[in-house]
Amino acid sequence: MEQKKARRKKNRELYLCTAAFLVLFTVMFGYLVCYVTDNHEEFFNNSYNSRQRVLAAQNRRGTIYAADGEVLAQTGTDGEGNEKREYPFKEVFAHVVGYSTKGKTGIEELENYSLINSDISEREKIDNELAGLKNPGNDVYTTLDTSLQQVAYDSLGAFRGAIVVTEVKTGRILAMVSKPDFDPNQIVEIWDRVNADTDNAVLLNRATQGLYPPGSTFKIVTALGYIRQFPDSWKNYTYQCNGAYVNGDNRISCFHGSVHGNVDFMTSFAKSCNSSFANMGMQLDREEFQNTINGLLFNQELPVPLRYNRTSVELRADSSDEEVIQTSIGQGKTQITPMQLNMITMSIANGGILMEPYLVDRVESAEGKILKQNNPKQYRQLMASSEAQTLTALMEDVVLEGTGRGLKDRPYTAAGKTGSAEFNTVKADSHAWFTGFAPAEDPEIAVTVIVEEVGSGGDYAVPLARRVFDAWFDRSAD
Amino acid sequence: MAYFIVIYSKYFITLFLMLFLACGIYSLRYERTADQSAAANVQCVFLFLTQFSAYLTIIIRTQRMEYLILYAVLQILTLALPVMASLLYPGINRILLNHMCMLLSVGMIVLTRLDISKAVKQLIIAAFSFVGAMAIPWILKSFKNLRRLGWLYAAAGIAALAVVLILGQVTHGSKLSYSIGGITFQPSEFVKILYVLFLASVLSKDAGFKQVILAGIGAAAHVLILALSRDLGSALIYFTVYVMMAVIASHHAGYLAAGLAAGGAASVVAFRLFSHVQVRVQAWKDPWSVIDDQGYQITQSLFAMSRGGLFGLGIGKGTPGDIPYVETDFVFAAVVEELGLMFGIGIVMTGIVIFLMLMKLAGCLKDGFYRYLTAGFGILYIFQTFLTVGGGTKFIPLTGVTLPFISYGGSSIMTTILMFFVVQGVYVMRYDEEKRIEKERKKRAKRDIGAEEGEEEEE
Repeated sequence: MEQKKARRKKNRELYLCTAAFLVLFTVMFGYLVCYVTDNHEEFFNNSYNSRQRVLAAQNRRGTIYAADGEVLAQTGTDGEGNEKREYPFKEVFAHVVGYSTKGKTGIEELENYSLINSDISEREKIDNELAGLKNPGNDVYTTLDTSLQQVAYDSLGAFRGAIVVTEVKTGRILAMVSKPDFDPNQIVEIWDRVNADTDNAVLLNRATQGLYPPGSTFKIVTALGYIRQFPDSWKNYTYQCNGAYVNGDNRISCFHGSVHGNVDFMTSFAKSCNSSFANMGMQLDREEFQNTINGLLFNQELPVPLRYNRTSVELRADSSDEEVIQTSIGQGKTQITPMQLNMITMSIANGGILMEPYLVDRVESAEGKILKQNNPKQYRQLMASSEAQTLTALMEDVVLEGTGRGLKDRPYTAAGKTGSAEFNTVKADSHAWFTGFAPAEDPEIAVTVIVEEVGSGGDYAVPLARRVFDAWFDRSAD
Repeated sequence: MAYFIVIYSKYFITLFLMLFLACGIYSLRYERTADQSAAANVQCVFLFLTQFSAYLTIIIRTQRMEYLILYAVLQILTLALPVMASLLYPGINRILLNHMCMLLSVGMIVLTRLDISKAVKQLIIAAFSFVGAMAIPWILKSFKNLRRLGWLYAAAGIAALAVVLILGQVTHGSKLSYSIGGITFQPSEFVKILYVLFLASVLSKDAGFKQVILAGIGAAAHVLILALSRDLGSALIYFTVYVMMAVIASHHAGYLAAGLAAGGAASVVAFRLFSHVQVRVQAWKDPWSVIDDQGYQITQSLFAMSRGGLFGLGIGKGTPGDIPYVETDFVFAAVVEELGLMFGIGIVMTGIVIFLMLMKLAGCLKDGFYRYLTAGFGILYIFQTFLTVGGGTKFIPLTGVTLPFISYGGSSIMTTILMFFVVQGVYVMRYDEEKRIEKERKKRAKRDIGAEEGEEEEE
């Protein structure tokens, strides 16, 4: 016993060194397993990794399908055995499906890993290898709805802009259109031309990357801020609109110089009275208002599956009055993407809970084995359900009596908010916005529309949204 | 059948390695070498199965018969040689031998797949090293004066390193080697053995403060020359071995703190002084921003490992050739790519078991010289493994040292084999000592019994 103790003492430093190395290696093994497996897909997609080229030689890129089974992208072979990526719908799905040569975008980028890999049985792979055949890559089934996408695409016509349609209870993205567009079949041929044309930015997916002033659609945010800060008195709010709000040197006019007269909270929202909202904005505590703004996903990473741009709206306690007034009516430095506005709308329609938007329903191997299945997932509660109810009532009123009357008297009850965003000091035509959902009593889909440089939201965006809603509810009625 | 082998061999190879490893870990509980022989026999089976399934896969995939010859030679070397060694020296530790052979085999499998001509070269050097190393236990036993040479080792080592510094060839910005008669040597590898002999010899005489400082000056001379040759990986290994041996010999953990502080200060100086240190640190911190040049190697290594995942792509199915200098600095990534991270970790664990055996042996030894020698080799080996695996996986900055037994490099493989045969010599001596004590005890017991019987008769 004594001897053992003595030996232990003699070897103390020896054991210490041994233990130090064991700890070091244990940490390294943990790091290795996590690092290598966590980054597997990201590393795979890096263009410096030869794995893509190796697999491209072994496998034929998989097919991308719409929710209704239509082919959105597939790899075909010409008479000489050369592969070509084909997009049967040409321009209609250009941005959301993307392209896979000349870099990768859209779903082609998002699901590149699945499309390039082939998860057919190993046995089949060896048979193919011996026969000199390529393995079929995995197929991607999206949430996109071809008829709705076509309607959205057609209604935008020759205008520039974007339309996003989502299912509010699941987060499925049903349609996503951006214009101007291009034919992904021709991407190699048109590459130099479209890249040189920075004015049109044809390749930009305006739905997720286009940063626009939100205009009056931002009044949803201001209204929510006001309701939160004046929970007891907002119902009694009144304001005398003379067509303009004046604060020192700052002067805000109502759209097209309208004079709204004596307005309450509902009417201010329905008629989109700038003066009244400027007045509300000035009453708000700026930091608290900023919290409301951040709570609606401004200045944050978004749960959007495609490449997107982050927005930024910043109010501080020492922000100037002008900034506050401009922000309250969605002008000034404030910017938003159609996708983010759609997400705010989705959460209002779904009792305050935002379902995470997704584009890919599932990935299957060519043999039909399901490799990945995306299910509806709650992202976050953006507002209390009572707040969502209040905003819904306000947005219904917009359709009934306000700027969204173009959606009145349809077989469904719509709720929404228009916007006419001025984007430069010269009084050119504004961007026309509409964001809304239907049916108001049990919402199914949210539609967000922006049309660049045409005029007011009520005149130009609402009719487009109506065509999308009509198409959706026509089909439900069948 | 061939299908089956090609698809599933990677899982079997991993399984065999794990079972091999389990035997190795199990045998750690035995104090005496003789008790380990059952575990050692089972290990031989798994060693054979690992080699067999790996080479079978390679041969089926490539349909080339020259691989068969290579396999046969490797098989004879790794299975027959240990048998011969244990016939020659009954006290030899067979578990250690098995682990050496396993690591060597994995190195051969990877090299065969990467570059057959290098594999042949490596195998020839390994075979000669093994045969030559057989003499080491005998030398150790016969020349008891080895422990007294002390500073002579340092002088020889420093001289060899200095020659490279002055006359050496520059490879990748570092002066590492010189050629004699067409054969290129990398002295910093061989000097490692002299260096540990030097420290063990000096510290076993006395481990007081003065002596530790004196040894430190000798060590610093080595480290400095290596740093000037821009071989910073080796410099770091030499430094660490000194610090840890000083701690173990002096029983003062305080030296560890002092060593860390000195090492930290030296690193800062090196970072300021050498641009290639800055480059390496930059490539470690964020290789993605310099992926075209300084970050290329490490990111390719990371890609290779991520391609492999937990169970690998299978032998011959990856593209480890994408990594520059894959067979020396990044061999671990090549192993992981084709045989998987589980196998890669298993290989490192095989090395860790060697380290644990050595530290355990050192703990049992009463003689200071052998004790420090064994511990020194253990630390040297495991730290080098840590540097190369950690460096190739972006855990620590890259230092460009080899993975002992597995990386391609004649000097490296020879040094590692010689080093572990010195340890075998220590095992042999301990075994002989045990035998002697046992014999004496038996003799004494016999005498005692005889005496007792005599007493009975008297009554």
